[in-house]
Amino acid sequence: MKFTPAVLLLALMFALPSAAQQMGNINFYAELGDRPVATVGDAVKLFAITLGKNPRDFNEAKKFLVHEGVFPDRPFAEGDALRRRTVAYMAARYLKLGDSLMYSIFKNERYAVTACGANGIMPAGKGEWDILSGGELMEIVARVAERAEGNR
Amino acid sequence: MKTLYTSLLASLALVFTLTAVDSAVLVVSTKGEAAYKDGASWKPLVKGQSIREGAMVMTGVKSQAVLNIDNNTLTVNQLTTIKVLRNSLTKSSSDNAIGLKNGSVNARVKRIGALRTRFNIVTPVATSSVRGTEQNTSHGPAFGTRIEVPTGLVNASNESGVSRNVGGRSSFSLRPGNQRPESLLGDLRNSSITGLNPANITGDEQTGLQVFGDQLLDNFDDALGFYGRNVGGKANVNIDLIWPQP
Repeated sequence: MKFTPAVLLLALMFALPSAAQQMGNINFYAELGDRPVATVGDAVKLFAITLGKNPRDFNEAKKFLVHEGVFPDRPFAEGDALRRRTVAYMAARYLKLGDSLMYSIFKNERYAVTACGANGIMPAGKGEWDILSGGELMEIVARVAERAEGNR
Repeated sequence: MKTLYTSLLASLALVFTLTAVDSAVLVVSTKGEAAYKDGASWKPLVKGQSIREGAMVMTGVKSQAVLNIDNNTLTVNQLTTIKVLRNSLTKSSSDNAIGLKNGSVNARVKRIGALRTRFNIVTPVATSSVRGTEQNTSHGPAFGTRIEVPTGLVNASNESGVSRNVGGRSSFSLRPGNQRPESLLGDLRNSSITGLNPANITGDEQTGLQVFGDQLLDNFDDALGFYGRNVGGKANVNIDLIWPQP
């Protein structure tokens, strides 16, 4: 049994990063839930995780989402306050919402807000320029993920 | 060498923290990212472990945790944070309260013989009492508190004195900033192409009902539990179908 310490050490080496990574996301969710203002960086990270990617940083996550057609290819900064229209655009693109006539024609942020309201992803009749809290972002993303699972 | 084994095994045990306590909250299963916190930091939630009263449980994206609480089942859905506010079991009673900070849960509560069972789900704005039934409860800053009851009957109340019995196809929805819930039958009305009016009403009354609808009909407080006492009986309802003139 000479190799036992080596096996245990190997198991520890694999277990530590895995546990740390999992706890990293949990700490992110816990902090996000209490944040009065969410950022574009938070939304990008949360959507990337929803799409099955665990990005190292904002740029990697943004690049991934732009490639997937979920995030607009425009110069957003990680620390920008998150507007309802940005999340609505991401949700509508990810879920391929097309049952709002204006959104199906223009596919822009303004009509994405209407489409998300009509589909119960976010409350209807809210302003597209509203700044969202971390809790609101999590609630919306939970609905998006549920809808995506249902579609599948 | 023995010391090396011991320290390596201890380190592994720390990574996969298992808490052996005498609590009645048992983790039945987990999926994806699930964690609990009974001190300063979050730790991975593991199938088979127990958590104490006062502990918090959180799930991540596409994740889930199923808890057995005194033989009742609580499913913590994705992106949800709960706290075990009360967990007490005696020979004569089972008393549990779960605080739902955000996200959604499904609770299946059994009625076990003569055991007095109290199972409350508490959100920042409302409390629901589950007994021998199943309910889905969600809460968040965007949509507020919402309670649906697939089977059985649930009482939902808030600090403003609102008390509603929810069951069947009715649902309790308290939007952010509102003290009064929306109509219990709002979902049905929104998905219906028909409107129901009492017979023999005047034109003005009909207009009033179209504007205020079921706020007049079923949106009253039920502090005496009148609704609950009438559930389960039989009644005859006469309906006149009036088709619109072309």
